[in-house]
Amino acid sequence: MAALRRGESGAALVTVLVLVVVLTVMGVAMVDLALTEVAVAFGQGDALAAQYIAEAGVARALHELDLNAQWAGVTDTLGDGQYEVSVASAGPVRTIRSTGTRGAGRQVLTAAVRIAPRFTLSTVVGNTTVAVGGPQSGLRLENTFPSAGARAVHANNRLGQATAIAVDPAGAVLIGGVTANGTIAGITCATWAWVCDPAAGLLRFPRLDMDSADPASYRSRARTTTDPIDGLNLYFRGGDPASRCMAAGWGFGPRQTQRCWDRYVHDRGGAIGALIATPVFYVEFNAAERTQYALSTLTITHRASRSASNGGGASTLLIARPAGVVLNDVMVASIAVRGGAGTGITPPVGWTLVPGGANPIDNGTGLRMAVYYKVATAVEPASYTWTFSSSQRASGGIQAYVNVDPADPIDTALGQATPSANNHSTPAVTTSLDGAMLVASFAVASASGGGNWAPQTPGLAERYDVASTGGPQNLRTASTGTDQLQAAGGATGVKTSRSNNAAPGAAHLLALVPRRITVDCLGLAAGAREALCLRSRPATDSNGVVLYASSVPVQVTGMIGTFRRAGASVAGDINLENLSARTADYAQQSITGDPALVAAGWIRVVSTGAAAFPRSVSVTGILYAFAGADNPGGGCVPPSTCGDDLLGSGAVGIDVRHGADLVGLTIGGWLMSNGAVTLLDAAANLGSVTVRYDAAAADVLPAAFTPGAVGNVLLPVSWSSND
Amino acid sequence: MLRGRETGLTFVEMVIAIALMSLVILTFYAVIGVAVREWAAVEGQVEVQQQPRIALARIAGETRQARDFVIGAGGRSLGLVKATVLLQDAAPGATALEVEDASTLAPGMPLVIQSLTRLERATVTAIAGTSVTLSGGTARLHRRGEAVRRAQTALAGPAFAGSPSFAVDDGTVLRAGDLVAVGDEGPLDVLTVTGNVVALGAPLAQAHPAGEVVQPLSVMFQCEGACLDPGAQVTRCTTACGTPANRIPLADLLAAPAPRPLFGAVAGTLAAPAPAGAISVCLSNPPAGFQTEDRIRVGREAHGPAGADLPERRRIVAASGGCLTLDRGLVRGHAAGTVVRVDAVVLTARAFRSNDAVGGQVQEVIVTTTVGLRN
Repeated sequence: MAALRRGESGAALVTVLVLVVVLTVMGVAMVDLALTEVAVAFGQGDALAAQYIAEAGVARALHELDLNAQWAGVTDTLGDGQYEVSVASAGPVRTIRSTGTRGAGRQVLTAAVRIAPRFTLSTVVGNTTVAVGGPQSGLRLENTFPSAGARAVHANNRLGQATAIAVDPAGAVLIGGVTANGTIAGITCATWAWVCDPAAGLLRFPRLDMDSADPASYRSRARTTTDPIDGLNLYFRGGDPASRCMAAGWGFGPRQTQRCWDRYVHDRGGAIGALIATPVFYVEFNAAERTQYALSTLTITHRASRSASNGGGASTLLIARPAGVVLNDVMVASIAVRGGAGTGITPPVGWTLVPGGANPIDNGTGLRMAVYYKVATAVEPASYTWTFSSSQRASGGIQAYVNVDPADPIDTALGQATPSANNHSTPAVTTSLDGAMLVASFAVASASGGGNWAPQTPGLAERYDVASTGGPQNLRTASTGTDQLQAAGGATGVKTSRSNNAAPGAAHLLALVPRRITVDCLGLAAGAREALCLRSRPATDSNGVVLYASSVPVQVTGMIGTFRRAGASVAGDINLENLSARTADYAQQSITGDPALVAAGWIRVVSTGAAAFPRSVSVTGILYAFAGADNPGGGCVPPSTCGDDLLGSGAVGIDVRHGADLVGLTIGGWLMSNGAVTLLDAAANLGSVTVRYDAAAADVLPAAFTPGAVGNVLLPVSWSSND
Repeated sequence: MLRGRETGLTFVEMVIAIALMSLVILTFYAVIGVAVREWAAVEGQVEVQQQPRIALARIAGETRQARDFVIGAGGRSLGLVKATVLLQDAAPGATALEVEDASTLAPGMPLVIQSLTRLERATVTAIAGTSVTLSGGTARLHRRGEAVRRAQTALAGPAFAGSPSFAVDDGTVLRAGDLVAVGDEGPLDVLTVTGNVVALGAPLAQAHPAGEVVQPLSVMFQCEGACLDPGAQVTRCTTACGTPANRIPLADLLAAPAPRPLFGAVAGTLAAPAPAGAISVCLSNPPAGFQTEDRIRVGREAHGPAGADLPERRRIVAASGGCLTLDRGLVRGHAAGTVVRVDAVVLTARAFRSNDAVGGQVQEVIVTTTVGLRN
């Protein structure tokens, strides 16, 4: 063994080793702690970054959903992190789940938004023009829905009018945005507190499927839904076996659709729909059917006729009064004169040109025929003189009738020029009531002497046959007056009479209204057609006898619609009877996916006068008016065209001119009109009109209103992140 | 026998070696000691920082889900009206709901399902996990994602400052042990509910007009005691919060950093009536804190015969001289004195401790964050 050298002994190595071990342990521990802290710091940073990345994912989803409502999600990177966004759809609600990750950090955020079509956030959507307010105060139109996308009024101005929205601030309190595709008059956009944009473009105006064969159309639904109280359906059409109107015990014919409605409301004591799931009351009047219906009808009879000519020509034509004419008889005069449109005709005092199409009727420069009527007064002159602008050959006659309605004598009328021939025919018309007397007048620009005419239509009775005289036959005129009683209302068919000479002619057909005991609608024109009357007072006949004591609707749940398709146009109005006559409050609510009121024509509230007591009239839901045009095209064959937007109508769609004292009218929901909209308080009194957006109407949308891929507003519903 | 050259260490050598070793060890000890103290200091600082971060993150998370909040006296407590959401659509007539978190609901108590602007009320009969059974069918269709919360009521008449009780329109929505907010005031402990009369654990500090909303709070965060160093503690509580045992500590060491409160909100009152259509509003004694892009609410939820008036939420597009320009006009008129509040809670916490490991070194951190309400 080698000896230790001096200095090589001791424990230094051991000591050093011990120290190294101790220091290493401590160092490792400290490094470990430091690394833990570093890890914590990184973890904290990652968690924070993940939170922001997840927020970015939510923001991305909102942006994408704004562009495309069907967007389903994405996984994308952001810096050194990533977000994974998924979107779950439940009806109009989109639930966004965004998971943000970076490193070890992970954050999940969940938010729900509702997709709402932009047009469902405007209180009034006019497809053409909108007029708000008049000189009288009392109208309040507002949209207080808590969204920047909410509007009080929007007008699409489809027909390109000079003014899209006209506001009279003197008579309107207007709260909310105003946007249009055209000029906005009456407010100053620069100082308007909400959105005011005359260049906002078009909003969708989706068409409702009213009457297709689809089981989901409103007519189909009304036909297949029954009222549990009587087991009958909710389809109202007089004379239609598919309607409750013709059910056993009802038997309301083609002229009594309104009566059928009145009876139903009466039977339910004024409260309808509450016991039925999503009820749709569908009223389809027959063509040209009157709102006013008859309880009894007197028969029109011919009293007497007279005719005359002015011989070889003169500037007047004198016709004697038919024999026996008394007060309230109705006389119809037909005057034929040479010269066509160049010959002016001035009638005697008290005679009125029959309204309707083509009267006077001109056939070139050869012939002019004009038809007049007069309700006989207590004292009538012995004769009547028509004056012409120049001396012409003329002929004509007067037919007098008994039991014609003196207040509303003419039901319908139409004339036409007829080509050179022996037979001359009137156009066909459609009468709106039973027992009309059809008066057909004919004239031809040639005559061979007395007795020129022979009626060809079976049952057509000739009342006079007269011709001018002198000179060549083809410079004369020949006139005839005929009539025929039509027992049942409806299409008349053409009426024909034969002239001895084949020459150009003119023919005119009118229907006289028989005197009846009727039930009318206050404030509605006496001859109103296809207009459902929501009564303010019980159905009462013209003798003051109450027919249906409880026919005033008081509580309505569900939708009321009127609609009839006639080629390219559609017909059916809804009128609230003059509100000053209300005998009770009215409340209608439809918020389960159907509009409250739908009319093929207009929805109209025109009222005047004072109510006996303060009354409240409220409708909650969507008001939708086609304004007579279910455009584009006349047909709606789902699903190919029914989703198309309507293109606008020149007619009035929604007309609220409420002036009844003490009556507060409230429309909650939103209004859509394919035609013009007028909203105003029509009188300075204690009545008021409030039109306000009610989100309840938008909670469940009609199928046609569901969000499209674009053009929507996102409404925040909830935030439920698990942070 | 040892030879002369093989002898061991001499005593002197040993002494010198030991002395040298001692020096070395002492040197290392000093180095290690410094390292240990530094580690303890940093560890303490981290701890001080972690406490408010964790606590405020929790409070912030719950605040984001809230629909409304109230801040107690001195900014020492925060009450939240939280909402949960439907996980599935509920058809009309549904008697069961599936919600994300049923903890904010209570059996026997009415709830409301909120769809944008309307509320439907129903009464809970049982809760099992996330399934809620109702006593009657719902009237309307409700969509997944709609908010669900406890039903609220409103003051039936004026409530006076100093009064220990008040009357509400509907006492069935409240019960003993609830936390409630009356208008802007709260959180308040409900001692008893007798019919429509609600008795509180402490008298009201403010007067309230009839119709002001009385809403159950889902959760309360509170800084205990005077909320001052040392030993301040933040607790979380959901029911019967008058009992200290029900207030669960969320974090120790947290206090409000004077002069700022733990829970704060930027709020002011209208200096003059704001009519419908006003797009600019001016505030009394112009308060600081309103900033462009802040989301604010004007007025509080209030209930009257015609239904509930919700506060109007707007965005500030300009703020100067105590006047705020809004992104769009108000749709209702508001009286002078109406509260205008930024729709966010300002959380400010101070964590403080004396670290004995480093000789009583004072360690503190102040954390502040602003949390917007999202429901």
